[in-house]
Amino acid sequence: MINLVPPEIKQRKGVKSLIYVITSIYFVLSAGLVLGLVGLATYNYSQKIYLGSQQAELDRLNVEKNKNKTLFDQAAFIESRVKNAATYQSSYDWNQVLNSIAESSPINTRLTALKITTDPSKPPTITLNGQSADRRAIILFKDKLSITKPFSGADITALTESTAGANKTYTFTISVSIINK
Amino acid sequence: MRHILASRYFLIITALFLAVTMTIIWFFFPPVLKTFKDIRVTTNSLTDQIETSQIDGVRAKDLVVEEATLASLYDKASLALPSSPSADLLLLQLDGLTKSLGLDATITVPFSSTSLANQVAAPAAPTNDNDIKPGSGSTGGSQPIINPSGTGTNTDWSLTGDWDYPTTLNLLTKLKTFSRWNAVTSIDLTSTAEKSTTTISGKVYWTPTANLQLTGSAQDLLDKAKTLFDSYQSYATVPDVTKEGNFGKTNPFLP
Repeated sequence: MINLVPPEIKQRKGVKSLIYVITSIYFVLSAGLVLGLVGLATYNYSQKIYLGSQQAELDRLNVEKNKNKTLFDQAAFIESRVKNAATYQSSYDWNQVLNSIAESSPINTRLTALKITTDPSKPPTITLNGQSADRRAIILFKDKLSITKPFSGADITALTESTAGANKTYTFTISVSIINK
Repeated sequence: MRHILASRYFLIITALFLAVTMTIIWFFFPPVLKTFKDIRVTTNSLTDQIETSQIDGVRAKDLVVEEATLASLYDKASLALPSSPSADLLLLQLDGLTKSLGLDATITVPFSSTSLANQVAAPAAPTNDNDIKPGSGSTGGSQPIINPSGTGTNTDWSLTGDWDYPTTLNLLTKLKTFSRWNAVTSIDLTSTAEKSTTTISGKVYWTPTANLQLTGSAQDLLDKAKTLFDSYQSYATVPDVTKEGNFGKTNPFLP
């Protein structure tokens, strides 16, 4: 078959259809944009209504909570105390420290003074003053403290001798630290 | 292409399309998108708040059921770590502690309130301004000494008495379960042939309460608090002027 349509007419028809296609695309795109805009605006509107109901629910819950505000305040107060209990109490078991001193004391020595001092920047120190008729027992006391928990670094800082009649008495001072917890 | 551009219809429709789309994109979309974002943020925030409030609702039910226990634990927590120095109650507690052991003690506590004045032996009347010293009090026997309180959240206290080693141990044991949380900072025990003297010094604490919020489960908290506070021993009740004491004298200078 021979196509007898002139080429100008064929070209004009092609351009026309292309313009229709492009116009359709424009239309679809514009419609898409408008629909998107309308959809978004509608979504916003519905969300605003939903937010209103959520806010009302929150207000209702807050009213409920405020009814029990005293209970919540008390519970929060207790919780803060429970969480920080250890911070506000002795770091050392002083009964254990004193018992350890007693258990480390030789039977032929006698303490005359005991002083425990604490300083937040360093381990607590104990100063023990006492008497004994046996110099060796004092040294053993110091050695025993050195190997007994919770002590460290026991030192004899003073040792003096006094005589009363035939009896000799040695007065001593021992300084010892407590191991940091 | 040349043929398309030559079409007036195409040019008009293209211009119209561009004008419409640019108008929509430029003028209409930004405010709608901004509203959308704002709503998302608000929704998330509200959802979180509602979740928290719903959790609080569950907590509230637990707290209401255990209201009496909560009140009791609150009293014990207030004794252990009050929100103010509460020196007057500390004095009564230390006094009760030493008396429970039958001990005669000199008690030193911080001075924090004028209400303590009636617990201090009356000093000699001041004759001039130099005689007036804050916190001055008596110094001996079983009479409490009241010192000016510090400005921090802890303050020093001390107990002194003629106590031997076993008594000191006993007192230290009691201080571990003393209702007011304390830290012993020094122990001074001196023994002579005639008597033993002991001074135990320490700190007590207080911490201001501001904007505290319950964060955990109410039931867990009550269980933990019971375990913690039930081990502490109180030696005095909180003074209540509306329920105790006899007042009214015609001449307050007479004994």
